[in-house]
Amino acid sequence: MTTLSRRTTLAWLAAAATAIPAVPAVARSEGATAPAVARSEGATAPAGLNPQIAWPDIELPVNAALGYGTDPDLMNPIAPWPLRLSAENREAINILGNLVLPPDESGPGAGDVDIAAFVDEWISSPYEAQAGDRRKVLNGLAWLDAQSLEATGKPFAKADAATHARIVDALMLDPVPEFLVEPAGFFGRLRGLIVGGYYTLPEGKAAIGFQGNTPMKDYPGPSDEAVEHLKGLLKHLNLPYPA
Amino acid sequence: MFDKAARSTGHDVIIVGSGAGGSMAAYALTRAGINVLLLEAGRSYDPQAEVNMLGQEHEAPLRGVGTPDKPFGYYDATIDGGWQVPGEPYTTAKDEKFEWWRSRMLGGRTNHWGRHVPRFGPYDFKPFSRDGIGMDWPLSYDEVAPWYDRTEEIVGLWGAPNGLENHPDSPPGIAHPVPKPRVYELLIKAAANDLGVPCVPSRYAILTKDKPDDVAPRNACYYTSPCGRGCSIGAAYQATTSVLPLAMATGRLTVVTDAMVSKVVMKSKHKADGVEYVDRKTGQTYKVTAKAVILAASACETSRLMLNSRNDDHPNGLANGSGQVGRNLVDTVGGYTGGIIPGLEGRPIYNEEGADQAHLYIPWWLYKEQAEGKLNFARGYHFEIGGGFRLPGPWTGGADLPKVNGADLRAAMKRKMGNRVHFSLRGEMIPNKDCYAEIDPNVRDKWGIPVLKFHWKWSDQEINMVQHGLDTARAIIKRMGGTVVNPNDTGESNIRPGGFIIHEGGTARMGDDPKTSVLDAYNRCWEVPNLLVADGAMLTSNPHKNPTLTIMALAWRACDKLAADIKQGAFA
Ligand SMILES: Cc1cc2nc3c(=O)[nH]c(=O)nc-3n(C[C@H](O)[C@H](O)[C@H](O)COP(=O)(O)OP(=O)(O)OC[C@H]3O[C@@H](n4cnc5c(N)ncnc54)[C@H](O)[C@@H]3O)c2cc1C
Repeated sequence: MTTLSRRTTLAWLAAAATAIPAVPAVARSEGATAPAVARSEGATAPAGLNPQIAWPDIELPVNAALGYGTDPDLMNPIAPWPLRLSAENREAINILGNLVLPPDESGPGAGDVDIAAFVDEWISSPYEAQAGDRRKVLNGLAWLDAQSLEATGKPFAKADAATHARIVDALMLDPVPEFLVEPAGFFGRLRGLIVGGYYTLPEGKAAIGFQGNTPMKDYPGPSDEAVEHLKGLLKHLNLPYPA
Repeated sequence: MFDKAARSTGHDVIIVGSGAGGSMAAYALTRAGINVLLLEAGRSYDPQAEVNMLGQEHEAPLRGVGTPDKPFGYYDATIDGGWQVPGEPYTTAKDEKFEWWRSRMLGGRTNHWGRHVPRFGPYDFKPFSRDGIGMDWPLSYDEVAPWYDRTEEIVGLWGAPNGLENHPDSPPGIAHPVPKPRVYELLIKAAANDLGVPCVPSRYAILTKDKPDDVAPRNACYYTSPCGRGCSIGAAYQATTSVLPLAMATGRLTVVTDAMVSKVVMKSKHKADGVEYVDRKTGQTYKVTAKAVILAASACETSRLMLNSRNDDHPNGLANGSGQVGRNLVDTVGGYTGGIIPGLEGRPIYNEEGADQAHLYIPWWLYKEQAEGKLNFARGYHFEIGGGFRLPGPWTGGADLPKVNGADLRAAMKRKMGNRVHFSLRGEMIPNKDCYAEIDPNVRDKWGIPVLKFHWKWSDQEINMVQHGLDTARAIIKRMGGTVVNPNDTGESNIRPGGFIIHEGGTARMGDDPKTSVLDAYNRCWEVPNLLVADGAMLTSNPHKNPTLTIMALAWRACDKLAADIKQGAFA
């Protein structure tokens, strides 16, 4: 639930869309919900990251009235809500998308298929269930920009590949230093959105080798290869093949 | 289909609600030559035009995941409903929980139900005689069997002659072939059988062969679309592609949608005259009359109507001299456990969608142990099993999202894709005095109709059953070399809230004694013989075997009798 007034949040949104918020150098807010990230007590900060840059900790209101309603046109699906991310935000997410799932012979990278479009739709959702992700992603993007600006003088989307890689490596640390608990929580969740968004695209389904979405006259059951594998597994488990 | 003339008289029978029971009643009566007015609170609905059979996740908002507007996902067929219906609240007693799933559409919940259609068995109709708990039905399996046969022929289903105790099979020639089992189903079967637990072909109201018909032709399943979307090809049974068009074709059915019935109107103490309804679009109220009225608005809603129809002759609610209207509220017991099976990781990928539902399932098997008093719960359960190659979605996280990026992540996601198995427990709840629905004196819906207030408490019977189910499923998961996803759950923590399995029943039960039941064996109210109930409210008991096939079969049986009576001049 939001505690900020609508005016405050709108003002913040405008700021987020145009500039990097001036982030006070205070410790992480105690009120924020701690993500499921292991902390390492007393570890030193990874090179190039400033532990004094605090988590912005800003929330946006939920407005379910902007949803698609209880009887939407299922043949022509649309997400009617306004999107929240700036072009630069989306650029940053696509960069991260290609770091999480880079292109390879199985398929394009997550950034290449504009995974940011999905992340934007998701975190802009007017429903309560996505509010936590909205908070994480908007704050996380602001935090990334603050770190990148401090290190390179450029926002994250405009920074060099080495900076991107260095920040991502720090966010993947396990356990993470105290000052990275919130940012790593954000990145963990963003990775979930990138992965889930990617593998539900036709390109992602092809990349993972999914077989389905194909009307057929008779269901053939498992392939010969799949049956052979099952037989091997059953043998290993000392179970007979079921009659 | 809206027809002004429908508001006047001229119909033999009024049916309230077009879901599983009401639509079957309309079919049975119209084909027997009876003129029917069917009043449905929801809007008109055409699956052929409205079901997005092949819509993909990425084409839907939020990849199609559930939201408060569409709790079971964007493409789910439910209209204006789910756990809440806008403007039509219900309440629950303090600190108690009951969830009431409704939809507001022609065909009711048949448009998006799961289609699992086991028959009740001989023991299920005589529970009291077997274990001394609850009440016997005024019917035996043998009396109901011909109606199961008839209902299954029109509904269509797949099933196999399993030959199991108290799990009747369909006679030869009715059930279509069951689709071939998948890898994970075969693995579960092997492990379950090794532990003495059966795992057999399932029974679902899904066609695997075409069902030609001049009026309502239906096609065989084509093995890719989720059944909850509704089925525009008619493979998965729903009233709107089957019995409703068939009933319309007789020329004896009038359907009025957006007609929210508020009460039954009486002609005299023991005779119903008709009903009053609100047109949901205009708010205007109408009264319609007929020789007989059938309530099939779903179990809870039907008891709400009966309680709201109280009058000087029936001060506690219509036909409620027994005090049993709204009482004996049951749902199916729900529990869940799942496993991660390393042996299924990295297995060869093939098309594992099949039909949307389980091709095998685990039926109840410990009748002997129960009869010998060896278990600490009296009735049975079954497991609906699941698994398969499931794509990651937006909620992917935790153990399903390894902490690596790049090629390692791609490889890990692929390896894990088919490694899960699921065990959904569905068990018989025994009616108890703490579970009932009554009228909330303080709350009305947007039409001004008083709403229901629910009371709910599980007994040890159900909690012990879920514990037994957890132990059983965990043993099967272990035997497959897997790990359990919720190892710390207990029967008490795992049992789902009341209403959650969406099999409500019992709120106007049938019996053979007017003092302890609301309906006779032909679904007629003891006190008002021209008022019938044809939905889940009729259930004397609610075996773990999903109730809808039985609701439809008994609706048909009741209407066959009613049609014969009307033709002989009854209620004229
Ligand atoms: C997701 C899901 C899965 C399910 N899976 C299974 C399964 O696998 N097997 C099984 O056996 N059962 C299953 N069920 C349960 C099944 O749907 C119900 O048992 C069945 O639909 C009950 O039939 P009914 O006629 O009592 O009520 P419904 O089908 O709910 O129909 C009632 C109708 O009455 C209308 N109505 C309500 N109030 C009024 C009023 N005041 N005036 C006029 N009309 C009114 C409603 O709008 C509705 O159309 C499932 C349900 C859901 C939601």
